[in-house]
Amino acid sequence: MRNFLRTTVLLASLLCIFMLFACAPEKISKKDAFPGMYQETTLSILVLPPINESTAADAKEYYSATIAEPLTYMGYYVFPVEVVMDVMKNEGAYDTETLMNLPPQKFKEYFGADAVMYIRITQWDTSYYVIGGHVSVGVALDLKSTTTGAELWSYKGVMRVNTSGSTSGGVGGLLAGIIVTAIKTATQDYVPVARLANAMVISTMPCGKYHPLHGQDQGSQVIKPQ
Amino acid sequence: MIRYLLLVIAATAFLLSACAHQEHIDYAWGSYSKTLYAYKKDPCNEKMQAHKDMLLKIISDSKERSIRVPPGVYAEYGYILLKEGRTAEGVQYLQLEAQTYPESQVFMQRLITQATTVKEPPPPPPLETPVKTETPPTMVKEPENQAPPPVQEVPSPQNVTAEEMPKEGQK
Repeated sequence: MRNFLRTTVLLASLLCIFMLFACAPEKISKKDAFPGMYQETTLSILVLPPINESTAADAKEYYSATIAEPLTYMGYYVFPVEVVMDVMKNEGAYDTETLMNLPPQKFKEYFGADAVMYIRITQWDTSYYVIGGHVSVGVALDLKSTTTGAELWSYKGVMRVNTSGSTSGGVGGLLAGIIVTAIKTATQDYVPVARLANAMVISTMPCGKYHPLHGQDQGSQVIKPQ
Repeated sequence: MIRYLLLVIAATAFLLSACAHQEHIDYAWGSYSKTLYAYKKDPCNEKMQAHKDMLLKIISDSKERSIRVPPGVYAEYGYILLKEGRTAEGVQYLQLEAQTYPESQVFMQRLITQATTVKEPPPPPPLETPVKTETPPTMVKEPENQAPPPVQEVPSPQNVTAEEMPKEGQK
């Protein structure tokens, strides 16, 4: 009995140590990674129509349905994404080239935004093999100040969900495995995958005004962006 | 021995929880992205109604739990109403957005001005002016400009811009 207990304890301790390691690859504090975010007080974020670099033509429309939520949870005011997209379409600023030509300052004048979020959809695809397949969503996000035009925050990640049950997400080179059973059946449903990708990438942002940790998270560790 | 095991587990749980968010904001987003995605996948009246119901549910749930209505929800609902021609109601929701989030005032005011002055000469300078001169394919745009699409909801706020701006985004 005693022997059995001893082994259990040893195994449990090893497991705990392992879990802690899995939690910590190469890290950097939020303040060191994104000093610009602490110099300016960014309250409001204008999400621009995403730039689609994937092979799926509809990724742009679909992805934009998932972005507002995680940004608001980080404590920012996010301009109504759907409304902004519609206004941009009517103003002829929905195309990638047009958007890239507009100086960030322009958005302060028109919308009153403190910062603009440029989004590139790098991956949006499904692959099948004989016994399974996966859905991948990759995004690269860039936040720029509308006052100075400088980059405040930038991060990218790829979330790959195995349609037979397990998931791996790569942030800044890290591959982490988690189980997402809900996605088992929904082979073509990108929304949960996009949400996971967003959660992973956006959690590295410094907390905004509406977040209880606003101004106190300079020391929080994030995985070093590449 | 068991006590030691518990201690190790407790310590790990504590350290792991430090990795996650300790504190967060409470918003009643409900299934917002689901209903929106469903509408985008299949843009029919039913799906639009479902999304509108979701927006209203987010508002009522937030009130019930006395938390702030999430950013953009009032504005999105108000904008849909404007497009449906329910200008007065739509404007009220846009004003609610501006009251809840003063950061949105500039944009909300712009939308309200556009919606309420449809019949009058074009309001504030559009976002696009400088780019128009930069982008070369003006010839492609012109014919579209002369003959705007005939079937358009009249009271929608974009009509103001649609008249003065080429509809480049529709290509």
